[in-house]
Amino acid sequence: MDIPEFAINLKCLFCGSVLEGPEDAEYCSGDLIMCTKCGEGNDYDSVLEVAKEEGIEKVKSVAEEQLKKELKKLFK
Amino acid sequence: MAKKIKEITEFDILELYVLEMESEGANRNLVRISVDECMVSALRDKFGIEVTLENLYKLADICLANEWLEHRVMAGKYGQLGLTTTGLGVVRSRQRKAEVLANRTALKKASDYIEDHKGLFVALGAVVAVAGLLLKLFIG
Repeated sequence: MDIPEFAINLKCLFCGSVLEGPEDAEYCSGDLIMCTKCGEGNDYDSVLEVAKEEGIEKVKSVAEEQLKKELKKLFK
Repeated sequence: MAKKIKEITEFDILELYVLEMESEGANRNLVRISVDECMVSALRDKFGIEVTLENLYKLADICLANEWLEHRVMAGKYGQLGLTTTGLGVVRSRQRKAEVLANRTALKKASDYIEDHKGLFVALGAVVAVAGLLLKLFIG
């Protein structure tokens, strides 16, 4: 089964807008990422956790779709 | 002098969930709280906040709209709500920010104060400059 690659944007936990920052910026556990839209600080680990959950949901739905297609082919 | 009453925010509701998680030793998936009179008294006991149920409903609406809280079972609009990953992240972010603010050095605090009030400092500088100019014109 081929699962396509996904790009998940890191979103502000407070306003939901995509978090933007300098390209060379490096963050580590415990850091706060400032949202340029609402000015709130986002806990790095929590932002990653939310993105991970979103990624899992996306992969799940694609895998389900593909599985349905495969099953249809099998019982044709 | 009247005691300043702490105003409740939507974040206080989220914090109540995290407190419940920690006191129960359960993760966010296992904790469900209804927005009702029990929450009103829990907020009074834990945070010393007086709030009406109507006000609490409005704040719960904000939490639901932002997907910080979610419905877990069929229990009405405000019954048995659970904290989402985003909601937990909001609480953790605020805790982390409070931690960072509390651990600032005196120099950093002064620097932040100037940064926050730079408009005031510019206005003050302008007043001093104008006063100096006027003094020079009329006296000197």
